[in-house]
Amino acid sequence: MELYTQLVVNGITNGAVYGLLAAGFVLVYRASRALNFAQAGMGALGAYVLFDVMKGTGGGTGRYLAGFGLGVAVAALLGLATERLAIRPLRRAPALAPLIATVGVLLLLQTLIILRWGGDLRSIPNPLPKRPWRIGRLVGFHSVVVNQSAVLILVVMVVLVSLLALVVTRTRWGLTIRSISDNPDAAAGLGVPVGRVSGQAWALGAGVGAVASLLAASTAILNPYTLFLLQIKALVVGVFAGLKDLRLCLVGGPLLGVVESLAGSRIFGHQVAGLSDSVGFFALVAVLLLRAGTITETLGDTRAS
Amino acid sequence: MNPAPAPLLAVSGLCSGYGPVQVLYGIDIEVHRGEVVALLGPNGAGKTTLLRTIAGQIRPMAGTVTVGGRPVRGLPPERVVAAGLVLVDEGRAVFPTLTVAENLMMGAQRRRLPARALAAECDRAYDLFPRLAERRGQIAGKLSGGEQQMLVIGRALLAEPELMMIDEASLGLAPNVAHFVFETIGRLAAGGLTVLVTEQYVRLALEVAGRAYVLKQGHVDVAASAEELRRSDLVEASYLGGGS
Amino acid sequence: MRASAPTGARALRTFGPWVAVAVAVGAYPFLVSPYWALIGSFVVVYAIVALSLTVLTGWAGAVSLSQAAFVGLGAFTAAELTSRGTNFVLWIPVAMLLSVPASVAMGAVALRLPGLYFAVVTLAFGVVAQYMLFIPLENHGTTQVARPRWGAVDFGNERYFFLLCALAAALAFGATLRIGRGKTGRALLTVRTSRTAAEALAVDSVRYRTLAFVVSGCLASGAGVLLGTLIQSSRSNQFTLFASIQYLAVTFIGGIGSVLGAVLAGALQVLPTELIRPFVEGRDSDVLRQFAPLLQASLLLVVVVLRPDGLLGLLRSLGVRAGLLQPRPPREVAYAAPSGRARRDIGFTLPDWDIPAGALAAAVGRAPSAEVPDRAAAGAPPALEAKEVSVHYGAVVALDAVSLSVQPGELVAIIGPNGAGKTTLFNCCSGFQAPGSGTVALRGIDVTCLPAHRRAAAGLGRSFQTPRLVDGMSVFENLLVGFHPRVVHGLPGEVAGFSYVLEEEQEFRRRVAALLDAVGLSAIGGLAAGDLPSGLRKVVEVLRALVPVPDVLLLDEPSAGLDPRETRWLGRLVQTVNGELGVTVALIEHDMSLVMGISDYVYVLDFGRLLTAGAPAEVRSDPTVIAAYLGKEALPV
Repeated sequence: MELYTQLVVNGITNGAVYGLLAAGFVLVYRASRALNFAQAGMGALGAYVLFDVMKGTGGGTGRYLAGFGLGVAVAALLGLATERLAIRPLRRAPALAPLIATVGVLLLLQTLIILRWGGDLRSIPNPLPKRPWRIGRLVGFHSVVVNQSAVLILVVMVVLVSLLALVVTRTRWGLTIRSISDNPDAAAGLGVPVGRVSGQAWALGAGVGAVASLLAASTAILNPYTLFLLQIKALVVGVFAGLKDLRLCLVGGPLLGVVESLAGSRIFGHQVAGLSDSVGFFALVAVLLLRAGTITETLGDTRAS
Repeated sequence: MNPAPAPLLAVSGLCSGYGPVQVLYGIDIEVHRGEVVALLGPNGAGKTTLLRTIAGQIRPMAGTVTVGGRPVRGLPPERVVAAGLVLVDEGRAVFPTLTVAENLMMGAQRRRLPARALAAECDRAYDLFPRLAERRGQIAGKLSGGEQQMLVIGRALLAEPELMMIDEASLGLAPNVAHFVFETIGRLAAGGLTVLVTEQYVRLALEVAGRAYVLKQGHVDVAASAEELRRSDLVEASYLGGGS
Repeated sequence: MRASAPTGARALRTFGPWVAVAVAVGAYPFLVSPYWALIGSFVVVYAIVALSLTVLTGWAGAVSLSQAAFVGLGAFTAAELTSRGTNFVLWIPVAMLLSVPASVAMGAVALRLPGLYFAVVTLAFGVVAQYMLFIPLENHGTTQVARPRWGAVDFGNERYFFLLCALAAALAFGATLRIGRGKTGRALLTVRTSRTAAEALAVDSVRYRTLAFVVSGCLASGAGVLLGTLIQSSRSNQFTLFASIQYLAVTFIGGIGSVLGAVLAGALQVLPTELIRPFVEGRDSDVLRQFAPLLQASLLLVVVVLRPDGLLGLLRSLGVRAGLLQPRPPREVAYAAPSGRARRDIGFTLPDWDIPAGALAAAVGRAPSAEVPDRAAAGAPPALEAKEVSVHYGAVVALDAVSLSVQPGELVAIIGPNGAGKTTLFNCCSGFQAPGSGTVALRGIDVTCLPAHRRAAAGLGRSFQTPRLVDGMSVFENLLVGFHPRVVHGLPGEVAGFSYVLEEEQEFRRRVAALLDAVGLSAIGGLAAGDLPSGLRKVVEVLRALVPVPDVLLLDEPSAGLDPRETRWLGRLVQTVNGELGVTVALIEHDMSLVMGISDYVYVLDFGRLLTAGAPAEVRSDPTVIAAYLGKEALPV
C-alpha cells in the first residue's frame, strides 16, 4: 500500500510538467487550429539558454530568475516567429500543413541544440529546493517521500494554468481568443485581426510551455531527447482536455503521471518493459476513439438542399 | 438641381467565384443610404457569393466595389468592417461556446469601448431583442434558430455598421419568427440603418424592401422597385419561367 | 518493312529509358568503390521508405509520423531471423506479414479520426514500438544481422548487395506503379478525393483505404529488412521519432505524390552527409551527424510554406518553362491549399446537342430500349421506392415520412425550396444517410441495410451537387473510374498483369473513348479534371455516373453552375440516357425549364414533407407550389 501511495504521489508531481506543457499547447490550438509539435522543442531551447546563463555558477537565485526569464522569452519569441512565418501563410491550407511545418521546426530545433550544446547529459545549477519532505501519516495513508522541488513545480503548474484559464475566460483578449477558436471567419468578419491575435497566443503558449520545460530541466538531467519526448505527453494530456479546456489540463497532467507511474511498477509481480512510456499511447488512442463521435467528420459530406 | 447622392454601396462589373468555379458574371448593383434593398433569386444564383465577395471573404476576379466612394475590393474582411460594412453570414454564425452577452461584446470588439460604454451598447441590443436580454447568460450554441438569428443581427449592430448585409435571413426559421426578423429589419431601417438582404421568400422580403434585384445564374435578371415587383409576375417568371 | 519500323520506334520510346536506367544501375557498383556502392544501397533503401510514405499520403491522404516503427520492425525481424538461421529469402515476406496487423489497425484508426488526430496517434504509436518492442528486443540481444550468401554469391560484398537492393527497389516501384496507374490507383485517388463519390461508384472505401495502409506498411518493413542487413545490425536508436520525421521531411522535399520524388528523397536522406564528410571528418562528429537533419528540416519548412509539390515540382516547372517538358496536371498534394486559380478559358465550349439517335446506345453497346413503359405497367416492381422515410436531427425534422416511387424507365424530378430535404432524401436512397424510419427498395429488393457501395454495385448511380472529380486525373481517367461497379477482376490479377485483366481494362477504355466520342467531348478527354471550367466539370461528373449504365440514376442538381446552353445540352443528355438506354432517372432540380421540359412526373418537397406530386404542367400551376416557392400567400404554418 505504501508503495502504491508513493507511486501515486510521484505520478502527480511528474504529471505537473505535462499539465503545464499541455496548457500552452491547448491555448495555441484554440487560437489557430494548429497543433504546435515544436512546443517542447521551443521550451528545450529555452532550457539550454538557461543552462548557458547558469553554467559554472553556484546557482544563485537572482541569476537563476534572470536566466529563467530569458529562457521563457526566447521560447515565446520562437512561438511568435513560427506563427508568423510558418503558420499564418498556411491559414487556408488543409490542417496537415501547419502540423508538418511544426514538425519541421521540431527537427530544426533539435539539430540546432545538438550542434550548439552537444547531446551529452548536463545539469543546470539552480537554487530550487532539493530536500525531500517526509509527509507523515495522513488519515490512514502511510508516510510518503516527496521532493520539495516537485511540490514547487506542482504549485507553479496549478497557479499558472489557473491564471491562464482566468485570462482566457475573463479578459477581453481571452474572449477574442475564444471567438477565434469558435469561428475564425466570423471573428474576422467583425474586425478581429485574427493573425495578430493568434501570434500573441503562440507566444504566450510557447512561453507557458517553456516554464514547464525549464523546471523539468532544472530538476532533472538536461538532454535534448527527454525534453523533446515531453511533447508526446503534452499531446496526450491536451487531447484528453479536448484541445479546449485548460482546467482539464490541470487534472490530466497528474492523471497521466499517475497512470505512467503505476504502469511502470510491478503488476502481478511482473514489470512490463516499456509500459510506463507507452501507456500514454494507449491512453491517447482510448481517449480519441471515445471522443471520436464529437470530432470525426462523418461520411456525410453531402449537404442538404 | 442637386445631383443624386452617391450610393453608399456601389458594385460594378463584379465577377467572382470559388477557385475554378465562376459564379458571378458581371454584377452591377447599388444601395443608397437609408434604403433596404433585397437580393432575390433561386438557389445557386450567386446571392451568397455576392455578399461574401463584397465583404472581402472571397477575392473577386474582376469588377469594383466601393463603400461611401472608397474602394474596398480585395481588402481582407477586417478592413472591410472598418469601412462600415458588416456581413451577417447565412447559417447564423454565432460563437457557439460563448454566452449571448459575450457574443454581443465581440461585435463591439473593434471599437475598443470602455466597460460602461460597452454595457450601454449591449443594452441597446437588448432593447431591440428582449428575448436576448432574458437569455444573456446562456451559451449561444443552445439558443433556438430564431434567437440565434437575432443574436447575430444584434452582434452586427454592435459593430456600428453603416451598411448591414444579411444573407438568407429566414433560412430554417419558422414563419412567425421569420416575420419578426424582417419586422426588426424594418425598424432598424426606420432608425437609419442601410440594409442589403438576400432572401428566398420573395413576399417576406418585399414587405420591408424598397427595391430589389433578382439574380439568376450569376447575373442580374430583374431590377425594380418593390411595388413593381409586387404587382407584376416578373419574379415568378424569373424563378419558375426559366430562360432569359 | 514500313509497318514494323514505327512499332520498333515506339517500343524504343517506351522501353528505351527503362533499359538505359537498368544498364546504368547495373553497371554503377562496378564503376565505383565498395564504399560508394554501400552509399548507393542506402539511397535505394531510403527511396523505398520514401515510396512507402508517398503511397500512404498519395493513396490514403494520411501522414504518418511513425514510419520508422515499420522500418524498425523490418530490421529487427531481420535480426531475429538471423539468430534463428532462417533463409534470407523469407526475411522480407515475414517482415511484411508481421507489418500487416499494425497497418490494418492504423487504417481502422485513420478511418475514424480526421487527419490531424491520426498524425498524433502515429506519433504515439512510434513511441510504443520503440519502448515496448525495439528496446526490449535490443536488450535481449537481438541486434546482429548477417549478410546472406546465395551459392557462390556473397552479399557481404557491397557491390552485389547493391544489386540486390536495386532489384528489390525495382520490384517495389514496379508493383506500386502498376497498382497506382491502374484501376486500383484510380479508385484510391477517388476515395481520397471524396469518400462519398467513391462509394457512389461502388468503391468499398474501407477496403481500399486499408489496402493503402497495408501496402505502405509492407514497403516500409521490407525496406527495414534491407536496411538492417545493410548495416548488419538493428538498434532501437535508429528508429526513433526523429528518424520518422526525417523520412517524412525528405519525402516531402523530394516531392510527395511522385515516384521519382521518392528516389530524390532517398538521395536527400544520405547524400548531404557524404557531401560534407570530407570537410568535417575527424573534427566534430556532431556536425557530421546533424548536418543532414538540419538541412532536411530547413528545406522542409521552405517546401511546406512555399512549394508544396517539393523539389520535383520545382524541377518540373523549370523544365516546363524551359520547354523541355509537357505541362502535366499536378497530382494533388495532400496538404497543399487549393490553387485558387479560376479557370475559364480552355478553348473548348460545349457544342449544341447534335448527337444522332442511337449513337449513345451504340457507344455503350446497347440496343436502344423499347418505349418508356406506361406508369401502370403490371408486374415490374418500382425501379426505386422509398417508403415513409423520416430523418430527424434532434428536434429538427429534415424528412417527414416521405414516400417516392419511380417506375422503371421513368424520368422524375424532385423540386422544392432550399432546405426542403431533397438531398437528404437522395442520401437515404443512396445509402449515405440512415433514415430514422422507413425503407428503401431497389427494383423490389430492400436495400435499407446495405452500405452505399453495395447499392451502387447493385445498379444505383448518383451524381452530386458539387462535382467530386479527381482534379489530378484526366477526364478520361475520371470516367474510367465510373466503370468500377462493373469491374470483375481484382488486385492480384492486376499486379501480376494477367491478360484477362488487361483485356478488361482495354474494354473499359474503348467504351469510355466511344462514349466521349458519341457525346462530342473527345477533345477534353486528355485534360486534367482540375483544369475544366465549372460547367464542364459538372457535365463530366454526370457522365461518370452514367458510364456503367446503372439501372437507376440519381442526379442532384445537375444543372447547378451550368449556363442556359449547357443546361439544354444536359437536358438532352438526360433525356437520351433515359429514352435510349432505358435508365430510370430521378433528378433534383431548381431549373424549372429543365424540369418541365423533360420529366414525366414531378415530386414537390417542402419543409421535409411531400407537398404534392403529379405531371409537370399540373405542378407548375398548383397554387400551393407557387406559394411554397415564392411565399406569395401566407407561409405554411
